[in-house]
This record gives sequence, structure tokens and C-alpha cells, in this order.
Amino acid sequence: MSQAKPLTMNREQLSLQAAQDRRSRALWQDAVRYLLRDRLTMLAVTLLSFLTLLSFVGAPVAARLLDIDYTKTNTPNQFQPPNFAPIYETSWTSIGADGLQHHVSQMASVLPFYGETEYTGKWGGHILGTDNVGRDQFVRLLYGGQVSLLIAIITSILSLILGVALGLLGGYFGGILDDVLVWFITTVNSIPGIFLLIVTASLFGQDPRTLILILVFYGWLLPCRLVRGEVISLKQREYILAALAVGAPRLRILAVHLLPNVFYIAVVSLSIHAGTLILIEAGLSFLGLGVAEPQPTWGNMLSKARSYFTRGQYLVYWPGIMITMTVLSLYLLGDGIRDALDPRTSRR
Amino acid sequence: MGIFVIRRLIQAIPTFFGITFFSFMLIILAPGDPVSLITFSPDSSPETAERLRKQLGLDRPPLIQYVSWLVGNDFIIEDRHEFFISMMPSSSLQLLPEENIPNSVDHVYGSRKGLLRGDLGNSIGHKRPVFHMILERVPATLQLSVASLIMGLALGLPLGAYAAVHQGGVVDQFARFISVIGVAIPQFWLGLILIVIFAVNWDLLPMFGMRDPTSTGFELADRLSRMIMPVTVLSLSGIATLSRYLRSSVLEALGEDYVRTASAKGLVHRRVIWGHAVRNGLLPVATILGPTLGALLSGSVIVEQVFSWPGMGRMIITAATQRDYPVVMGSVVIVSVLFIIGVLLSDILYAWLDPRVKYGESS
Repeated sequence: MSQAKPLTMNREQLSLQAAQDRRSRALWQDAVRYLLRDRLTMLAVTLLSFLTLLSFVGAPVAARLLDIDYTKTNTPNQFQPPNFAPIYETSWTSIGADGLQHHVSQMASVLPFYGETEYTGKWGGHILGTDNVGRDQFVRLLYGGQVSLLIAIITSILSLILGVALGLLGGYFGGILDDVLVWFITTVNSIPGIFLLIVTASLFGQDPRTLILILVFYGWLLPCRLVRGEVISLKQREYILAALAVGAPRLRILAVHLLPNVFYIAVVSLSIHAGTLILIEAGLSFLGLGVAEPQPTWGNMLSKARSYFTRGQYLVYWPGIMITMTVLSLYLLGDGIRDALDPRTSRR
Repeated sequence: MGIFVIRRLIQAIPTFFGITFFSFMLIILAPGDPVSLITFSPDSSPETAERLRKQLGLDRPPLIQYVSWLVGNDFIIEDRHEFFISMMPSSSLQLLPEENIPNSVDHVYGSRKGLLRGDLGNSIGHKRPVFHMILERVPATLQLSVASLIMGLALGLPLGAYAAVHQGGVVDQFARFISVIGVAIPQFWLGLILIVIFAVNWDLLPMFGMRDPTSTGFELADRLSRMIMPVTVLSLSGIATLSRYLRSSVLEALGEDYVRTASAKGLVHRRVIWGHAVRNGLLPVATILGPTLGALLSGSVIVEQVFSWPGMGRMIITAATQRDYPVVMGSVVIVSVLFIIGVLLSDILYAWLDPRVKYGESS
């Protein structure tokens, strides 16, 4: 929303305004400058970088440090509540009598510093507890981010490339290609999204790569529609006519004159799209149709959550918090980029 | 107005055929077939599977299968005659006089009238008419979606209007928070959290299901208490979209000339706001009612799964994993028709509220 400018300015404000008007920057330079000043967007970027770092660097490091294999099931170890503490060892030599050992070890578990106990330098237990088959929830949570984030990023980039390319071609050349494109988009958009996704995902396997293909298949529709609409209005402009008049080939017009002008749509929807994709992937995996076990994703970690209600409530919270934080940051980033690229937004 | 409605109806026809064609091809061309999933028993022979496949028409080219799904196959008499003979043991066939071999075998679930004659076929797994199966499930799904739509309208619109009028205020901040959170929280997780809090820990609300399984009659209090959590989860996204949309359209209306004129002629501030700005700002909301309904139908699939709600969601998931393609096709068709009708109604509503749309379309 553009805010109304104050009707009166004092001299200082006026000169400031004039200085701002004089300084000319490229659109992108301007946008980056705007983004860097936008605190909320910067918070989102920080959070996103932190989560990405956590999943791609933190996960293997944590697995190594804690010596945990995130795919190994150990059913007797199931539903261990969150607990993480230093391990103490009791030196039995000072106690002597064997009969006392049992008693002492029981006491030692209550009072870590009882008797001759000694800190071993090791830590044990499970930071976020273990799941229904005894896998460590914390390490799985970190690894889960890898799949969720990778699927979202790869899918949104692929669907944007496809969507922008087809939208450019359809919008610029029109004709039968455009008709088919429009018909296809209207048709697929008339089926409530999740139904198609459920059908496709349950028919074509549960592999991250297949899931990416399926999501791309539906993902390119929205950017394509947006780009097509924009191109149709842009191609009426004088500068396109001028380019045609000086004899520019059509491919050049598409690549040099139209693409840069629709590119902002791609950039804005990239981040919002990625957020939506994380939600979709999580939803499908929750239904058991997304990425299959033992590969953890934030969605499939919750797929059996309903059986955890009495024994492992702590398992329900974290995957959802991670999803929400990621999606929230992506949406805020998208909003920020949109504001930054929108010339109507008032610049501070 | 009539012409506008008719035009929109005609536009919906190719979309409808597109939907059916697209989903049919998707299911037929997918790997795996229903027969191997049904006849998965130790004593089933390859011949049985082959016969069943032939009986269901699965041995035919996909395009023929689509056409027969669309217009039916009950008029292809000689084929079914042949099936009947092939299905009977040869000894019993000799006892049967030639003229007693029936031409219409109603229990053969490969026979159908086709979608265009109002027949969605029979489920392969359940051997029941798909239409009946859907009819049992649709009310539950609609109950959730419509209740959530009403909740979304009842809470989202006042919130959006108030937020726009008092831009930057506490309510505006709250509306912004809701609109961001409402779309960023995974619905299924919100449902799980609500169950953990209100059903498991506090024991205030029933955990899941649509009605008390022990009671036989209709108990309004029970039904309503079971709707609270799923409707809350589902309506949150509706509240988020509707309030955000209304907020921006009211803000736009506040900048229009007619609002200034209304103020200039000395109208009370409240009349200007609620009578001019909000009233005009409400118009474009009509256009997103259809898409919102679609989002609610989609969302209800997952929410149904969380709350064990006996709607379409669970049925379509099991049907798709079993390749029970008549059920999948039937559900997709019914849901899409509901969605198309929703979009159509919201477009008509918009054209009725705002005549400029109608004239713009016809020119």
C-alpha cells in the first residue's frame, strides 16, 4: 500500500527528497538496498540461513558428535523422553563388596556425584527423545530439513523455469500454443489441488525425485499464468514496437526486452512458491504419500503422530515448528522482495 | 444477466471434459493395475486375473476405456455375451440352452452406462456403485467445508474491514499476524496440536470422529463439539485469505474519488467508511469465494485424515493406492463439479453485484 506523502515538508525534508530524487540507481540495486533496510525481511533471511545451515551442516555434525545413525531402528529404545545429560561412571574399587554394587549403582543413577562417580567426558541420552521405533528425534529433525528444503528449492526453481518459458512463449506468440496452454491451466486448476496430488503421488511411487517431478508438473501453472498475463500487456508497449521496427528478431525481443520485465514475477513467486511447496510436501508425507521412511522429512515424522498422543507428545511439536518457521520466513522474504521491487511502495 | 450465466456455463463444458480426460489418462497410464491388487490371493490364477481384466475392459486401449467410461459399454452386447460364456465352466454351459445365455448381466461390474448417462460405474474393490459410495461421504466433507467457509466469512470479513479502517492499529497488527500465521502453519500439524491440548491433556473435546459411536440418535451437542477443532483448523486459512483480501480492497476503495466526494458533501465519517468504502471493498471478495471453497475442499482432505472425519478424503486416498479407478474418477469428478459450481456461483454473484463486470465481458 502506498502511503500518502505529507502535504507539507520543511526545508530539510525537501532537500533530502531532492537528494533522493537525484540519486539514480538501477532497479535491482535499489531493491537490494531496500531489502537490507527491511528488518522483518532480514530476520526472515537470517532464520532461513540458520535453518539451512542446521540441516545441511548441523545434521551430519550432530550425527557424528552424538554417534547416532538416524535410520537405525532400535525398538526397545522407543519413546524415550527428551533427556540429555553427562554420563558418570562409578569406580567400584573403593566399594569392594559385590553385594553392594547393585545398591550403589541404583543410588548413583539418582545422585550423579554419589561416592566415587566420575564424569567420563561423554554425554548421552536423546535431546528430543526417540520415536516409535527408537530413532533419535533430534538428528532426524535436522536431516528432515535437508529433504524438505531441497525438494522445495529444486521444485520451485524448475517450475519457475518451465513456467516463465512457457508463459513467455504463449503470451508472446499466442495462437494455438497459447490456447492449449490456457485450456490446460484452466483444466488443472479446476481440480482442487490436493486431490490431484494425492492421486498422482499414490500412483507414482514415493521417491523424492518422483515427488519433485510431480510437484513441478503442477507447480509451473501459476508462474506461467502470471507471466503470460504480463507479457500480453507488455507486448502492446511502444518499446516492443520500436524494437520490432528496427528489425530485432523475435527471440531477441523475448530474451532482452520481455524477460527482464517479467523476471520480477519469477523472483517474487520463487520464495512464496517454495513456502507453499514445503507445506504440500509435508502434507503429502503426513498422509504417507510423500517421501517414504526411513528417509526423514518434517512431514513424514508426523505421519504416525496420532499413535504418539499418549506416549510421546514431545514428538508432535518440533517438526511442525520447523515447518512453520521455514514457511513463515519464505513468505516474509517473498513479501519483502515484492515490496522492494514494487515501484509504488514508498521508499524511506 | 441470463446471457452471462449461459456463457459461463458453456465455458465450463470443455473444462469439465478436460478434467475427466486428464485424470483418466493419469490413472490408466500409471504403473500397477487394480486387478493384481484385488486378486492378490494365493489361489488366484493368471487366467482369473486375465478374465477379470478383460471383464473390466482394462485390456483395451486407454482412449477406448475413456470413451466407455464416458458413454458406457452396455450397448456392446456381443462382448459381454462372450464374457459370460468365457466365465462359465464349460460343463455348465452345455446344460444351458443357447437362448438362456443372458445379454445383460447386471452384476458384472465391468458394465456401466457411462458418466454422461449419470453412471459413475462400480467400485472394483467394493463391488458397489461409486455414486452411492460418494453420496455417503460427500455430506461430511461439505459439512466441514461449508461450516469453515461460514466461519471464515463471519470472522475474516469484519476483521479485514476493521483492520483497513484502523490501519496500523492493534487490530490491524493482529489481522496481519493471523493472515501470515494462517497460511504458514501446516493444517495437519495445527490439528494435531489442538488434539494434544484440548482432547488429550485437558480432555475438553472429543478427540476425533464425526459422532459418538455409542449413541444411535442425533445429538446436536455431540455433533457440534466434534466440529469445533476441525472447523477451527480449516477456517483459519479462510480467515487469513478473506481478511487480507478485504483489507487491501477496502484500502483501495478508501483512496477512490467517491469516498472523497462523500466526505466532501459532509457525510458522517461512519457512513463514509461503512456505507461507501467497505461496501465497495466487499465487491471483489465475491470473486475469491470460489477459490476459497476449493482451498477448503483441498484442506478438508488432510484435516479429515487428522480427525478421522468420514469424508471424501480417506476414501480417495485408499482408492488411489488400490488403483480403484472408478472410485478415484468419481471422486475427482464430483469434487471438481462442486468446485466449478462454487467458482461459477461466485462469478455470477460478482456480476450481479457489480454490473461493470457483465458489460465488460460482453463488449
